[in-house]
Amino acid sequence: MVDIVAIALSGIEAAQQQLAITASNIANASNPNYSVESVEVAAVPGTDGGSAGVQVLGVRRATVPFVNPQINHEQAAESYATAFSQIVQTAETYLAPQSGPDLAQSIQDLLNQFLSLSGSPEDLSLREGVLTSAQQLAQQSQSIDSGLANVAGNALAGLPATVAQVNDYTAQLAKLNFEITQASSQGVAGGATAAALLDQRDSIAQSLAGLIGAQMDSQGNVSLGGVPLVSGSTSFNLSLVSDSTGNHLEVNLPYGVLTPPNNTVGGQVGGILNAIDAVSELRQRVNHYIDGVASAINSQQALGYDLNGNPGGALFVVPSGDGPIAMQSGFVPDNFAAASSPAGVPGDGSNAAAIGQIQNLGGVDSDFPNANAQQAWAQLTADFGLTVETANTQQTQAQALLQSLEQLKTSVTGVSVNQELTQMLEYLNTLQAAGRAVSVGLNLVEYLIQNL
Amino acid sequence: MPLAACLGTIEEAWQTRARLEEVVSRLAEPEPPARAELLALRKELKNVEYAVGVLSGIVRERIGALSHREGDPADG
Repeated sequence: MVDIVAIALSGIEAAQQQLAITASNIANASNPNYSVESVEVAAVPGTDGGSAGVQVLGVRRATVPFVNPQINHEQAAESYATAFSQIVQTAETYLAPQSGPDLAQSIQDLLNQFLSLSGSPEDLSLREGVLTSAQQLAQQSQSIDSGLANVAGNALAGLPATVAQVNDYTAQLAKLNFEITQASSQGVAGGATAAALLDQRDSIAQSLAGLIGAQMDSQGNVSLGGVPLVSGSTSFNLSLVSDSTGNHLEVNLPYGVLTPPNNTVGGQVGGILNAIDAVSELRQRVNHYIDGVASAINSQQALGYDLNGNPGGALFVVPSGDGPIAMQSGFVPDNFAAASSPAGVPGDGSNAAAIGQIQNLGGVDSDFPNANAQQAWAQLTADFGLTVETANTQQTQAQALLQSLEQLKTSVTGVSVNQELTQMLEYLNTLQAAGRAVSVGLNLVEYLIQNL
Repeated sequence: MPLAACLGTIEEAWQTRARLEEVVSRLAEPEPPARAELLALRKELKNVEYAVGVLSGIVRERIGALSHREGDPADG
C-alpha cells in the first residue's frame, strides 16, 4: 500500500518536471531560436516484477541535425550575396548615372564636336565647345574613378567591425561549449540548461555563418577553410590584413598564424571582400577604357596642326598605369589640331574629322579589339551588369531556400501549443491519480489514529 | 497555498512517504507508533494532498487559458 504512495509521488515529481518544461515551451512558442523540449521518463522496475513508479531520465531537445548545417550554409550564401549585391549595385550607378550622360555618351559628344569643328575649323565658338566637352569628359573620368574608389574604400572600412563581431561570436561559442559540457555532466538537473545553451549555440553558429561562412560541427567546433576558429572551449582570434597584394584574413593559433584561403571565406565578409575585388577590377577596366580613348585622341591630335600652325599637342594627360584622365594643363581652344598641314589652308578640318572618326575605330580599348568605343563600353557595362544580376539572383534564391529550410526546422523544433495542451492534460491526469493515491495513504493513517 | 510552497511540499513528500513506510513497518512491533507521531504524519499527508490539488488546479487553469489561444505556426 505504501508502494502506491511511492509510485504516486514519483509520478508527481515527473509531472512537475514535465510541467516546468511545458511552461518553458509555451513561453518560447514565438521564439524562432528555441527548440521544443520534452522530459524523458521511464518506468522503474519493482521487486515483484511490477512497476515502482517512474524515473526522469533527462530533458530532450528536438533537433534536426541534418538541417542545421544546411541552414548555416544557406545563411552564409544569402549574407554573401546580399553584401556583394549592395556594393556592386552602388558601383553600377557610376556606369549608368540616373541623370546626365554616361562615359560613352560623353565621349560620343566630344567626338561629334570634333566632327562639327572639322566643318568650320577656325570657328572659335566651336573650339570653345570642344574644349568644354573635353573638360567634362576628363572630369567625369575622375569622378567615376574616385566614386568607385570610395565604394571599395567604404566597404573595406566596415570590415574591421565585422571581423570584431566574428571574434565576439567565436568567443561566445567557446564559452557556450564549456557551459554545455558542464551542464551535460550534471545529468537530469542540467538537462534543461544544456538544451537552452544548445539553442543559443545554434543561433550564434547561424549568425557566424552569415558573417563569415564558417561551419560548426556537432561538437561546437568551428572552422573556416580548414583553419580552426573555435576548438572546444577555446576560440582563436581572426584579423584582417590589408597590404599591397590585397585583403586577406589571418587566424592567430597557438602554433602560428594561418590564412584561410579567400575563396573559402563566405558570408558577409566574403561578399564584401569579393565585391571590393570586383569594384577594383571595374575601376581598372573603366580607366583602361577611357585611357584608350584619350590616347587615340592624343595620337590623332599629334598628327595635325593647330590654329597657329603648330603641331598638335596632347589634349589629355593619360597616366602610364590605368588611371583617370585629366586635361592637359594650359590647353586652349587654339590648340586643337584641326588641320592636317602646317600651311594653314583655310577650311582644313581634316584632322578634326579624323579625331571625330575615332568613334568608328575598332580596338580603342585593347580589352575589346574588335569593338569601337561605344561597343566596348556596352560590353564592359554588360559584363558588370551580369555580375550584379547574378548576385541579385543568388540573393533571391538563397533567401527563398533559407526561408524554406527554416520552415522545415520550425516544423520539427517549433513549439506546437496544441501538442503542449495535450501533454498538459496527461500531466493533469497523472496529478489527479497521484492525489488519489496520497488520499489512500491518508486514509490509512486516519484508520491507525482511530484504532491504535 | 502559493505555487512555490506547493512545489516545496511536493518535494518534501518523499520524506513523508518514508515516514509512512516506517510507521507501517512498526505496526507489527510490540510498541506501535505513538498517536502524536500519527497526527503529525496525517498533517503532512494532508499538506501533500492539498498541494497536489493546488497544482492540479493550476494546470487546469493553464489548460483553460491555452484552449482560448490562437494557433501557432507549428500547429499548421
